[in-house]
Amino acid sequence: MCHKTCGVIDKQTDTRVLCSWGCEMKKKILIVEDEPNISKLVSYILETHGFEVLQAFIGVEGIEMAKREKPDLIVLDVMMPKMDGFEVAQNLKNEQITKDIPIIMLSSAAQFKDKVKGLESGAMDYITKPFDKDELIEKINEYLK
Amino acid sequence: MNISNEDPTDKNLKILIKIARCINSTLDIDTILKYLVDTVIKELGYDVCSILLKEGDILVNKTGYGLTQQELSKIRIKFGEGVTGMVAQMGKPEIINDVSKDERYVEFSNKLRCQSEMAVPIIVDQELIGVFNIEDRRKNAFGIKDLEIITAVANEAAVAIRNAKTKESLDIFNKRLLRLYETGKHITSSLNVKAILQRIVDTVADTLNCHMVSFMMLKHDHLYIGETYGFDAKYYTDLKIPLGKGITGTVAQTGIPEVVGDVTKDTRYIPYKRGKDSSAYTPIKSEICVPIVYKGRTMGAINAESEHLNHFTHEDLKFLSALGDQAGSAIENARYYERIKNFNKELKHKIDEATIKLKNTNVELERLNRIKSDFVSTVSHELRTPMTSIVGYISIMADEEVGKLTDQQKEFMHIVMDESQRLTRLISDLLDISKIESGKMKIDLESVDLTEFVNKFKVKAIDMAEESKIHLHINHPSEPIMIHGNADRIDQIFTNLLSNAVKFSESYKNVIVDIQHKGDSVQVDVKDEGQGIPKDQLDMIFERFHQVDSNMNRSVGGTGLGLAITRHLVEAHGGKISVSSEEGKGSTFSFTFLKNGIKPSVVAQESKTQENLLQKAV
Repeated sequence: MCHKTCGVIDKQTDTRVLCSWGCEMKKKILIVEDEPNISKLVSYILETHGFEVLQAFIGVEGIEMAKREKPDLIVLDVMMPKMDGFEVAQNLKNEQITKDIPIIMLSSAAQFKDKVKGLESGAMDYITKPFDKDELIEKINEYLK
Repeated sequence: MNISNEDPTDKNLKILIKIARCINSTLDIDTILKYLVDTVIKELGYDVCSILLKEGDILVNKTGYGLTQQELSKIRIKFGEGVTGMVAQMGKPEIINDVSKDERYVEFSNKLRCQSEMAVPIIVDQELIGVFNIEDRRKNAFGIKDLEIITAVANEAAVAIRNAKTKESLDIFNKRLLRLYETGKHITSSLNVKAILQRIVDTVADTLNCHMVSFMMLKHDHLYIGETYGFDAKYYTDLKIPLGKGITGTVAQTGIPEVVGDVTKDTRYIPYKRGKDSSAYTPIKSEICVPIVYKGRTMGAINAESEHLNHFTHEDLKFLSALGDQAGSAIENARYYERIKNFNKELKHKIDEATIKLKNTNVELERLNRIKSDFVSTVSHELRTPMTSIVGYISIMADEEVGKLTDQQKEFMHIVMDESQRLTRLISDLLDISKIESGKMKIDLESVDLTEFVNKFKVKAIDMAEESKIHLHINHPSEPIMIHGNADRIDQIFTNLLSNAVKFSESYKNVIVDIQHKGDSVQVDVKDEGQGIPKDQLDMIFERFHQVDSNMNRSVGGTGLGLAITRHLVEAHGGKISVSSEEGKGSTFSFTFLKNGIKPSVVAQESKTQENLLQKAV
């Protein structure tokens, strides 16, 4: 089964293949993000790289969806109303069913202390906004290995 | 009268020689007087003999034969009073053959019942010093011979008594001089006005042996009680004597000391009451008063009073004047000291007040700074959200993921991307500056191998240089160089300075980075061949929002914060940063890091667990 090349752009042909190995099973990624424009942007980037995308727009919805859908990875915003990304990450890490799902935080809080807080709450990585799309895909692929 | 068969002239001569020899061998006045009286009685056989000495304008009986000590002590005769007083006044001897027929006669003792009296003045250099008084129970007891011998004895006695008195007054003078010296030493070394006044009134009371002493201070043409002896100053707190009023007021006004022998005859005298409720006035008879003058300015007066008439002498006046002079300078010194002390106290109070104000201001400033830094932090987050969309969607379009672009569209897309990145950098820099200014910038220092860091950094640096077609040379020692630092922040320092060097260089020029050991430090020089920095702007280049004023700066896209942040980061590492430049030839930025084992002067700490987590994550 393919884990490596799903959604990777073939630079020579400049075409996107869902999976160069013919893998039909797309990896499922949950985006928890309250800003619709950013959610749409991340969705577009991930979909064009061959991922199946789920979108949640508030923290509680994200946790429910994670439990129900069991995504392969979660891209989690930090600054959200009601329940912020740190709290969402902690909740997910405390649930047996979601605790092993890797989390990448995508945050506009760029300070060192925020990064530390994100990693402490259970995220694998912390990317600051505005982000580089290639860096995001690179990291997602790394944690999906 | 003769009591032996001896030739009276011979006998009298012998007595006279004996007396002279004896009284001239001592300077003690009591011994002299006692010997005189004893010898006269023993050798000449009279019933009563006494010697009265002049004290002021009265005669005081000092010694006598035939009278009890109690009777003697009562005898105080005014000039012109009785036979003795008359003799003293006239300066001529008198013989009274029957006292019952003389109205002036005053009986000293009624037990003896004397009927005749002889009084001889004791005179030396035309000055009366006393009276020899002799009485007998018989009538007509004294003849011309008696007068001769007693006059001779009186003359002999006069010299001896004067000598003894001179000695006595010399003793007093010496004692007072010593007193003056001691008091002077004490008061001039004291810095407390109250203590000085206390010491002075005590000294005056003790030395002049008087009943009341007051030290009056002059203030706005009025005298106020400074310190007292013999009466309670608390009853006189509102006493206020105008200049020129009373004896003290007169002395303070004229500056001339005065001795008043009988205040009851001086209309200026103002009597004191003994206490607040008592209507009884003190039975004061005589007074002495001297002004306190310092450098020509009257400061007050010392006033001493006695219940005896004519208690104070001119010797007392000299003593008091000398004491007054010392008091003047001592008080002035103490006042200066107190003024300085008060001034210091006031100054300290003012400083304390200002310090409190400053503290409050600081608290307020800190609060405002916190609000500002919170604001910047919030704004920075808020700006990042739209920036994320802009950069994200533009980069998708620039990559032609959603459709082919014309060359011009591509160029414009890249301009938007570059400017968006610049805006993002500005947001980060603003956040950094805000943290630096509010003291919140915390940098965790650990051991970093600078050589290893540079090897990694080279990849990024070469990319940066190639993009602008700059020849980059990085020279550094090959062995590990361990320094105190924070890898992220070191990267920020190198990136800032190198991107500056590249930005301000034209294509195909050189940028050279030199890393070398310098004692306890490592020095890094970043040298470019750009336009250089005008001399007058070199000092300001590390200030925030300062950009070198040239035609070029707008096209290179800086934020104006990079060097300010860089300087802070270098200093937070315990290093120093400097710049040298020559216009048209290029600039060199030099900065240092402390090697391991050298304690940096500025160490910011964050918890170890956070550091470990980060390392794990990276």
